Amino acid sequence: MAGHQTLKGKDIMDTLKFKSQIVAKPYFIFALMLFVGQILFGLVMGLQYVVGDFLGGTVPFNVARMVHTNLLIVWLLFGFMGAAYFLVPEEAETELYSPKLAIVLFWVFAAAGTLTILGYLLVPYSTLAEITGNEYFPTMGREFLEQPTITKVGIVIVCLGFLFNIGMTILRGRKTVINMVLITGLIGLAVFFLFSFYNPANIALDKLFWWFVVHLWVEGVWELIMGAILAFILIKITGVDREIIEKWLYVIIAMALISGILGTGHHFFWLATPGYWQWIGSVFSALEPLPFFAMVLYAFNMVNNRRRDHPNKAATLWALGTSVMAFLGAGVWGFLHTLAPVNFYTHGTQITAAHGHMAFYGAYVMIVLTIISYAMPKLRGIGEASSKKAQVVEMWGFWLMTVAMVFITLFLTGAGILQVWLQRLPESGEALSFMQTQDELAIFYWAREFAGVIFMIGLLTYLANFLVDKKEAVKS
Amino acid sequence: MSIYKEQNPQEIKKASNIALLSLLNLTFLPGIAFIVLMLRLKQTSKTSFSYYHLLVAIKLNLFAATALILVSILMIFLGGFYSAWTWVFVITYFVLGHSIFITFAVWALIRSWSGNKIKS
Repeated sequence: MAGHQTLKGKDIMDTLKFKSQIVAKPYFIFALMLFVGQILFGLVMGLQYVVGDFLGGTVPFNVARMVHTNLLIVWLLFGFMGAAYFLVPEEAETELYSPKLAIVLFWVFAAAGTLTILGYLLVPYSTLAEITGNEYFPTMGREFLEQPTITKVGIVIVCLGFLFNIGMTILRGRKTVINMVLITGLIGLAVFFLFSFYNPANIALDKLFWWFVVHLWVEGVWELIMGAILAFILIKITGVDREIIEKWLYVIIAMALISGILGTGHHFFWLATPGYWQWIGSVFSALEPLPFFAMVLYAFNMVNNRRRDHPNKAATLWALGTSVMAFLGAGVWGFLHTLAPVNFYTHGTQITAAHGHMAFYGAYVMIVLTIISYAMPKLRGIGEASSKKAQVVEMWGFWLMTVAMVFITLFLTGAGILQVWLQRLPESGEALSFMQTQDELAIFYWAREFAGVIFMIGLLTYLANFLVDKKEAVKS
Repeated sequence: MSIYKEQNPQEIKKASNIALLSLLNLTFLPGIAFIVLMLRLKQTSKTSFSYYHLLVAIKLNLFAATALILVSILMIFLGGFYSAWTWVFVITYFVLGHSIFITFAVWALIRSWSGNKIKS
């Protein structure tokens, strides 16, 4: 824990405003470890697209996919929690209500997450369902929500403890717009997760409520979390007045909620719902790029009008990068296939995968890496920023990962267009089957795998930046 | 850093409107916004700050039109309308290219807001 961790005469409190902020550090470290795992399984799965029996006996495709997506969600949750533990005390101008609770919850969540992933890898999914008592309260078997019921209960307990800790800190401290938006987003995250416990037998109803978790997370409340973290970082690195940044934040979250909530309708197009959902879903989800567009305007405007030159250039790059990539991935690539007449042909194709990859990377991976970039030098006792050399390495990581993700998206988009052409457009029995189509897309999958390897190299480069300043870091 | 104070506020407003028109031409009002931009040519003093942004906007939109419309038509002409690969390239190229032009127009708008040229 924080307080008096000294090395070579330095104290962690030289760089942190509140000693309890140090609890964010294990969250960030564990998040990055899971990130590596996520990309590793992404590479395995990417190869399985073209070499079908690669590790087939050990890690089947469905398991690799489950681990890839679940690790993403879990490491982002660790990142959001770390972000909250770091920024809430600073915003509220008070110590965290209970640093001990934060550490206990970290170990509970880390143990539950690790056991779940090991369960996916070591036993057949049906056995995992059996040994975790899924039959008594069935919630398993749906993509992204594959966790055993007991793990889901654990997530709820961790979320409640986390919200209690953050909420009590805010209650006894300064109430800022950033804190309020952040906790609104985090409460929303917890509330909408509860729909994962509702598992109707009717598959259309099941999917409908499944989207209440998945869509209202990533195109709803997570945008509030992203907006709050971005606002915090922009205040710190630009020195622009809080009032200006807060006004932008209000506009962005209003646009996000107005477009995102009814935008859920774009998932209801083909779920046996009334036809008016095709209009509601199309119109409101066509508005969904607007908050991301506003974020580009906002981030670039704040950096352009900055009142100070913050030494942490890497954090500034991440902040600008997340706004642009979120606009491209969530905004533009979302709009590409969101209108009902287009989605009729494109839903469930590689175009969705293209959108998913760039949107998650741009909006949520990059915002977590932004706060890590800003916070880590302070949490490690280095100072306001890492050394120039470390920042250069970090920025290499940024560019390698970002350019690789652009290419992954482009290759998947190409694959998706060809897939629609071969599998969806032809009528009168001329369409290729799913598997025949997949064979035709092999060139794109090889190219995507190559870009994935570059992404992994970028991630390792990014992680190497932490080694550059190893000697300067205060041990904690 | 911003040089906001160095420009006449009226010029900044004019330049901002021009940059906004440029962005609108690339998004919600293609063609119409460009006509309005062209009409501004005669009304704007050639030595003014807003004229600089007007030229940037016109050049950007002409370049975007060429890159997005003409090149796409050329790709369709060379690749064939009924070829899957034509659409693989045209759609991917158009979406990415369009996004890049929009991002540049956003940057021009931000620079005009703060009374800056694109490069200062």
